[in-house]
Amino acid sequence: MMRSRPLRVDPRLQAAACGEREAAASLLREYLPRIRNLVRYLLHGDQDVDDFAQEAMLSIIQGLGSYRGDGPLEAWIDRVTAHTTITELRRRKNLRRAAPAGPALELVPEPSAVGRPDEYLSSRWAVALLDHVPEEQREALVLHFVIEMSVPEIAEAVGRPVETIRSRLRLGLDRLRLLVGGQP
Amino acid sequence: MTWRRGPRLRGVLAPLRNEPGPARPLSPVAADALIEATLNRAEGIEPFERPRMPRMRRSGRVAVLAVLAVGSVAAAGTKIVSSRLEIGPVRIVEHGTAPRPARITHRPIVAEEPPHREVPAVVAAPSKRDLLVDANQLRQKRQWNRAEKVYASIVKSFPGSDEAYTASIAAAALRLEHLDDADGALDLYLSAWKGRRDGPLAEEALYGMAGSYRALGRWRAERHTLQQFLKKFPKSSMREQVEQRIDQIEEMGP
Repeated sequence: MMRSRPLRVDPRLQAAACGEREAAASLLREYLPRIRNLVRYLLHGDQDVDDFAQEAMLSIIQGLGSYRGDGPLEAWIDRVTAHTTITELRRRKNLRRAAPAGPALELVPEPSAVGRPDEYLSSRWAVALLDHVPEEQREALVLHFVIEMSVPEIAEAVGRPVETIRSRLRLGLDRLRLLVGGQP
Repeated sequence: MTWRRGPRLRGVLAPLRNEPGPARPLSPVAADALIEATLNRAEGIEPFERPRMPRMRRSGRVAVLAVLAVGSVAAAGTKIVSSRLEIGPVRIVEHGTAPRPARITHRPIVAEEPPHREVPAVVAAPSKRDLLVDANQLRQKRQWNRAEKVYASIVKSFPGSDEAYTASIAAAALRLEHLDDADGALDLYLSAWKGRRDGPLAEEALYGMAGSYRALGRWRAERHTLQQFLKKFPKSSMREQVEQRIDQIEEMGP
């Protein structure tokens, strides 16, 4: 787990918020893997991860001034990333033509690029399962379990009633259990 | 209220880590290019070219990712050269013209060198790998047109090479996904497929052909290509989706 860097402590934050490119690049370099991981949790397939990650990084850089430093920086980054990704997903969904989406090809990663192969493969297996969960249920599962948002927070973030979010979580968990091989 | 994931799902929804997984690894070169492009957008240096929605989502980007992987290797080679020479920016080659040479100038050894003695410029053509790296970076910056032109120049200038093969798939994917040129994409995919039916990107080529036919509304050709895909790649991770698409086409009737 990374340590949080409150605004008053990490000079990169203020510098980046003031438009210093090097400071911003340094921050993004540090958090890029985390941002891409969260984006991948939310997206079906690998092919659009970097497009969405770029949108999220842009929102982070443009929103740095609003980070008050009263909570872990990574939690703030997670929420900005989730919000941006979900918003962009909806925007693209509205634009998408009637044709259903094609699948993503799975390429084998370079072994040297993966620090802990077991955890990497485990997380790849997880998103392969999530790719079979309906989008709205997946969204609720990721926001709740991966970045630990509460049900009311998710409801507010996605603009749906609390009961709807609970229902999505219940259905999503049932679906995941079935995929894992157990009974709902 | 907090929901419990239960013992079976603990490994499924794990906390985020700051290393690859579940997102695929990204090479340092590609990561830097992505960050640079983001900062340029934030500073308004490069207007963001929003992608047009494709007629279907295709696997072509994966081919481009493969190109990126090649690009990383190529970039590593470039660094070795850069440590000795100053290499000017590689110019973007217009489609149909020969690649323009990068300008290479030697560093002056003595600072007090008389000003009237100009150091002659040594001109060298960019290698196909340099061009591939350049095209990948343009793609990362969402400059689809320019990236496609550089990929196309590699195909034209270095026919038969591994780089030309990879570039042809990447150019096809850009034409199909971003440039609304399904005809052009089909030509490139067909050429790549016919040239190397057992090549490392044969799966992408065949799947891209099917996607191009789909974008062109040629359902029969699409179905035939997808059937060919299943026959050629029976263990493909896309098998299920390809079968579903064949079913959809057959439900549409003759």
